[in-house]
Amino acid sequence: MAEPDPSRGARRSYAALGAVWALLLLFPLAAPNNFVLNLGISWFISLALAGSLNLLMGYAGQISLSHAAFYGLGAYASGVLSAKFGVSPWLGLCAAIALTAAAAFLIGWPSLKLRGHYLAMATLGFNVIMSVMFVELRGLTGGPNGLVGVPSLSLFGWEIGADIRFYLFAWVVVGLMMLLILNLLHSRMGRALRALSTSELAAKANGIDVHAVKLGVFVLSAVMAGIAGFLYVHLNNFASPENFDFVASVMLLVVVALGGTGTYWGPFLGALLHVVLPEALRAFSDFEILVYGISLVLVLLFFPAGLSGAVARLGRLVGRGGGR
Amino acid sequence: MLEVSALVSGYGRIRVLNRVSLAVADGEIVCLIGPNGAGKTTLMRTLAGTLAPWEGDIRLAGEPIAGRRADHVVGRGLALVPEGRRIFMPLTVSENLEIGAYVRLRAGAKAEAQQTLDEVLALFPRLAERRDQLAGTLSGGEQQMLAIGRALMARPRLLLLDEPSMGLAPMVVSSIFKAIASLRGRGTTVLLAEQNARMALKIADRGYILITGEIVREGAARALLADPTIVSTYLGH
Repeated sequence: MAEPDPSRGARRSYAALGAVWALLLLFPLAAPNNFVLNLGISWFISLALAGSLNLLMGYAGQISLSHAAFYGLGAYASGVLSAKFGVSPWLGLCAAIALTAAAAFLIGWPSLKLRGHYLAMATLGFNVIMSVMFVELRGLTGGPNGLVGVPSLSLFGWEIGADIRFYLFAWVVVGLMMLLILNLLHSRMGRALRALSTSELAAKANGIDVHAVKLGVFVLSAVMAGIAGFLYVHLNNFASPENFDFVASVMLLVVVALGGTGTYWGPFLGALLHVVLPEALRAFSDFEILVYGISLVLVLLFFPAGLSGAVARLGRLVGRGGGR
Repeated sequence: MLEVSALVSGYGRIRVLNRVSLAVADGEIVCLIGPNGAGKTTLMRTLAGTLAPWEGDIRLAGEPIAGRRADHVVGRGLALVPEGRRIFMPLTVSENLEIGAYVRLRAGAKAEAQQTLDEVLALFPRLAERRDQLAGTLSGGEQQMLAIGRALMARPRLLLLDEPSMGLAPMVVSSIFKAIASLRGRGTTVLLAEQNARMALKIADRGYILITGEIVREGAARALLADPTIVSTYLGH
């Protein structure tokens, strides 16, 4: 008689997110020094980037090759306004959100009308253009040397410096983003996203306004990347063009693929690798990038569903063993 | 319920439908038969709004819908079961059905959608048994039931079915056609495109024969089945 409860899975996801986020509050206590704590902050920023890209790529099935450009647009928007014009970073945040939303809308509106890889091509072009702008608009961005003198954030007179204070700030901001993504995935809209990535024709025939839904999720994911850029620039008081180039966009795709596309927890693991692997490989010095590349290939060869897929498979094996 | 006049449609520069006119009255089951490539799917897609017509008029219960977007057309009460089923494989059976009610849920009609869900699961008990299963794990016949059930979730006044028998075993086809015939009693009007003409004409009231984008014959289903030239020319075997 027991009716299967459709919201049971949803409730479990919310509980898991709550538990993970509560545990993350303990990390600063365990972190031996500020360097490790800053890795934690970098993880939050990576998670915001990977989580938002996964929403677009993993669930809606749209490939964007300019996630790093939106990240950079958010960083430079708030960074330039506060460093060069003395504007409050909070107004800078509004500018970052407005600019990334407007740019995503302009690119997405025409290219999402078409099926296929038009969004990938349009975003590739956009990232290249943005990289040129970040370098060439020297007067504003500081050019290839980077933008210096970006002020730290302060809230009600309290400065949010690059230590436990920024950690808690990122904990709140990225926590809200991940909660928003979870809400979206368990809503009518989330089902529509997964449906249209399976068959656009059937999604349309069922009354889903495919273009509007795709455009909406593209703009949302770009804005989230912009907010991540805002965090980055006020954490480091600095921005440099090479963090936001085309290669960085491809790297974000790899991070999402490594974690597991189209799974909610994939980006958590992908972001962990994104932050920890370069540090762990530092010992290899010149060979770092080589070892990094090889490890990526190995993971994708042996765990095509990404790390979250591998963890799930391991969980099933353990579960089966324990069940006996 | 549906009036189509002088409809021209196609893909790119290729003209597929050549001034097609047809009508479906309230509560009727009308079938559209014709060989591969005759334009049945093009007609279905144009009616459902996933393909824009070049010329001509489409009226649903008197309201012009030619050129309106698919999501608008669904909201007006026309639902399409696409050729090849096109169910959402990575989603569960329940989720597929919920997407069928997308337009109604967006309008906040949650209780009514739940009632339709109960009706659909009563019509296809197999779907009820498998509601938490991923749609991709269903058999071909069950997938077709799901595609029909998903379209019924929109509570359409007019249901378009594009080749529901495609790729299915004869036993399964007859159970699906039985379900389609039972829609008549529920106040759903049906337009059915089929290559399996004999089967379709048996449950239909009237039929149209579409050849290379033109309607070449129309008439009562029984008359078409009884006509020896029709049988030998179009119905084959």
